[in-house]
Amino acid sequence: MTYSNGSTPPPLLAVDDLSVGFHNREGVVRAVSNVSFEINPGEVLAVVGESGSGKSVTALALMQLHPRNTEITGDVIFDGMDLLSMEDEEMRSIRGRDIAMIFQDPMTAMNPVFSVGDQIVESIVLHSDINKKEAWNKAVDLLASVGVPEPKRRASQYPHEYSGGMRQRAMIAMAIANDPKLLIADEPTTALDVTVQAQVMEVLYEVQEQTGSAMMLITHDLGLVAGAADRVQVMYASRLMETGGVDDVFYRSRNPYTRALLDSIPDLETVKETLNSIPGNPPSLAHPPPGCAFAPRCSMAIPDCAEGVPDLVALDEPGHASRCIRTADIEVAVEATV
Amino acid sequence: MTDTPDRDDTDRNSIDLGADASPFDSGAVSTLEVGEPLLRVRNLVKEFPIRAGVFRRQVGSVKAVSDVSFNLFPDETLGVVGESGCGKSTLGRSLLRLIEPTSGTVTFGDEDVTLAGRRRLQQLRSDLQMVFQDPYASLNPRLPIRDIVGEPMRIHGVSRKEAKERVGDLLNRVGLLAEHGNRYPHEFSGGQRQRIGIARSLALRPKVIVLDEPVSALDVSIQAQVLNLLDELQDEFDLSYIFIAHDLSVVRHTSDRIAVMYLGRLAEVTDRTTLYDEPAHPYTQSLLSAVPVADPKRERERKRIILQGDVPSPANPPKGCRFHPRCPVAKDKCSVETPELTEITPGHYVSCHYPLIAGETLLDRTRTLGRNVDIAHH
Amino acid sequence: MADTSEATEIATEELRDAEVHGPRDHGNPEQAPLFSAGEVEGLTEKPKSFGRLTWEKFIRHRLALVGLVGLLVIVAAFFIAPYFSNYAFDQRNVRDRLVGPSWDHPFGTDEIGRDLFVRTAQGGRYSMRIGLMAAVIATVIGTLFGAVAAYFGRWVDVAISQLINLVLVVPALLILAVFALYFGRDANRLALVLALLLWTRIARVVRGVVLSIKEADYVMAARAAGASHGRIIGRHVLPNVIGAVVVEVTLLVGTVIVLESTLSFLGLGVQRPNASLGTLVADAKGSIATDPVRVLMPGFFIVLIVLCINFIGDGLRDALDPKAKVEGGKFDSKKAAKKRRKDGAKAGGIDGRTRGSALTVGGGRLTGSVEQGSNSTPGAP
Repeated sequence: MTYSNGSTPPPLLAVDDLSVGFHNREGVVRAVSNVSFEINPGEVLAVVGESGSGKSVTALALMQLHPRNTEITGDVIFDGMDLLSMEDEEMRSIRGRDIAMIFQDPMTAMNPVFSVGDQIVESIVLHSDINKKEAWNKAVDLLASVGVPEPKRRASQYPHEYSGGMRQRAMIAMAIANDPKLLIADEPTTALDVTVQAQVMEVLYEVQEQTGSAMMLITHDLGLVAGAADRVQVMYASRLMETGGVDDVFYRSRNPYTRALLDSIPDLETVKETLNSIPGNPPSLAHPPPGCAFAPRCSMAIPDCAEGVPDLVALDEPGHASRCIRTADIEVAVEATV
Repeated sequence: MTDTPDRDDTDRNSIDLGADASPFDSGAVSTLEVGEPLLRVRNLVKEFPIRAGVFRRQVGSVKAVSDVSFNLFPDETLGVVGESGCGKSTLGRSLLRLIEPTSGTVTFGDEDVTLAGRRRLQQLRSDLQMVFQDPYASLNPRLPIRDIVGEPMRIHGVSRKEAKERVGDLLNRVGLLAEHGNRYPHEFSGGQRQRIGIARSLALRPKVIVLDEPVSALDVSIQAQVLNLLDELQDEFDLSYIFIAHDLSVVRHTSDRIAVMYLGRLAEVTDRTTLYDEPAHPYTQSLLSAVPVADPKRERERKRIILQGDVPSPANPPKGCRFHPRCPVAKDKCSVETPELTEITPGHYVSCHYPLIAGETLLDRTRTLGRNVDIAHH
Repeated sequence: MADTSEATEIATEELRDAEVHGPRDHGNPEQAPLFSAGEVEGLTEKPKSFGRLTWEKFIRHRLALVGLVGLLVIVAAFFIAPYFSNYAFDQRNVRDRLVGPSWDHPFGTDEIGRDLFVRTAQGGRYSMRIGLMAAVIATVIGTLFGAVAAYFGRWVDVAISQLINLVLVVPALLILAVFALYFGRDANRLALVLALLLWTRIARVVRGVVLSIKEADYVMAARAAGASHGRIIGRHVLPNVIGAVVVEVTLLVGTVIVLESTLSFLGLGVQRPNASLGTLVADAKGSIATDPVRVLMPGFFIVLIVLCINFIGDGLRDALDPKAKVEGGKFDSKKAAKKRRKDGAKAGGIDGRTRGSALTVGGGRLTGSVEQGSNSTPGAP
């Protein structure tokens, strides 16, 4: 959903210069470095990256669910409130009500000793005044709305009696119980089979459309991003590499990492002779290379790339930006191939 | 990967496989089935007993692999795809008898692997090798890389000195340094470990390698490196691969022919072009339609058929066609009679009573049958 | 609702991924530049055997080293001490009954005038002997039964597991008491009985480890390479079992010493005039008020020995973990990890119900893994 009528509403979530570091004996491991972005109401923002890119840590920092030995700097403004300066008490009232989270593995995200219905009821009564009976009825309705068959009976069953796909549906039901303004889905279908993934993603879209909530979809699967997102944000080694509308990033990418990533995945519909693989391995976050973190693996790297971290450069398309000192050269390359 | 279009009319029935002759023993050949099969799998079955109680009495069985037959030809890659629990990994391990198959035959050359004695099996394993999915679990953490890669050679009587030399060469070949042999597995990243696993599988110069989800534990950018490496090695060492995976895009990229499995049975076997262009089994079509494509425009245009429900438990598979409870175009016969794998066009094998023929889509079929299906409108 | 714990879990997961893949800078195999100078450095050095690596890690583990040296000193003292005294351990000096510590009798004497300095040394040797013997016997029995149960599975496993449960529910002290009364109480028999009661601990550990290793992919890979059962057990199963067992054995030695002391205290242990640390405490129990040194000295040695042994066990556990690395002569022991785990637990419980276990584990794993990754730099040994 883009707001093309000119009057841009204030963003639902504004993250400014967010950095997250984990302390260890040697010092600080930077899991997220100077990340800034916004999410507008009703919008789907996909955050893509490989493991260790900092995409999940970003989400946890927003939710203030990071472990104690963590250092967070920057500003996170959600709906006019500054989340990072909030007391535990206040933050708790926002979590699960205004911002809800869906995790990768629904088996460990649910408590095995309570029935699914009970767990949904708990998340409802935690944030509203209705009594348990009404909450139970609402839980059954919610299960029905995410496509759990026989919701009345299933509500009193325990998580282990649910299949993986059903459990993830129940997690979604729990997440939308309080009509959140922002849904954070962290690899919501990674543990599922592809046919079940299609079911769950469909439920997720429907729910997101019905409730009008914004969604931050964290995933490593570029296919999911292509199908789901309004805007995309590519992360690599704790930094934002490129951000922009989904078509801008997929078709008009000005970032060597994004382009290499897109080139390296096998495609279902076209057969490539050899895949354009990205050489080498992602850098260690404890000892990042100087300058651009991708430079050691980048086919376009020049000596200057090692001289300091490049800035995010704004591009022609609105909201499209890339972190690369050779952005201009890439632009030429794109036009040359088209 | 082979793309030789020439037909080879060698008599494929030269080996009598008894009464259980499968469609693969018919004279028909497709363009990709070239030469004498290297590996013939016939009616392979693997059931795991379910035990309960103090005395571990058998109370049932998980039918992991049921009546699976196929051929593997020299220099080709046969992809085996399916969702979790479809029995593809069990199948891979049964071929090497890392899991003893319950019944059926696996013929390598002209020898039945399932009948081989201990000694003979050890020799056969120099021809049949395996690469495992989890690069963290498949290397003994207490052995240096040199010993891990060299172990197969030492078992097969290669001298210590020669083994050391060959390990160095192998490590070089898979993109590591010979000196890395002195390191321990935990010093390597996932992709590097998978390279080590591949080097180990090459140690005995095998003819067939079963690749069990070799890239699914790796990050996208590392996946491509390993896939390209496997491709190069295939040409260099004249290898035939059985490539087991759940990712259809990866299988399409690597395989010459593809077998689709569902709940322990083969649903469809054919070359990759036919499989992607004219899938005949309703399951194959829905599987293909469920895979997200990294192309926003195509994603917006696609009509995605959404299958109902989850994959049933292999401990208690549905009667008749195992796919019928989820099949949007199933008819009465499907819940009663188990469809046999039959050859609908040369080289295209399908186990469905009502296969989709020549470009017919699952959506067309549901319309003609007047069925409702869930179509993703996103 | 387990968002908190799950969240932490994921944070750690992600970080661990990041860090386990840490030393990714080995460079790219397909394109130059392959490996930087730093990464190739040390590559040509001769490989160290696993035993040697373990030893190197062990001696760099501070607490373990303290434990080992301490134990050696104590044992040596037990053997040497009698030479510095003019008395034999069972020599009665009626005139010197119940004297306090003096130059002649450093620890004083007991009711019948025996020198407690010599008796403590003798008792210490006795306790150590029983402890080691019982631990060795229990380990042999336990490893055998545990491995057989896991390896053969089926009814063998059922039978052995039930036997283990049976032994576990038997009241140890009662059996020991009855046995001591009927068969005498010399050191060897005592050790045997203790071993027969304690082997189950080893057996359970070994069974668990063998069960998991049996299914490990690297055992599958060895089988795929054509390895025989003997080779699989020798190369792949046993080395991984030893790590777990060695730790359990050191802890067992401590348990046996304490148990033997308890028995002796109850009068069911060592036969007089021989002494063990336990009988010495028992004999002195009447004079705690008048002569505390008499009780404290043997008690002090019991505590010291058990402590040293536990330190050694701790060090061995870490040293035998192939992933753990030591650097700068300082090993970050379990204690530090525990402390950090505690911090993690304090950090952020939002949902009371799930706060406990999951978060605690989360915190611990996080820090542990970060270290692990950052330690495994390619240049390190």
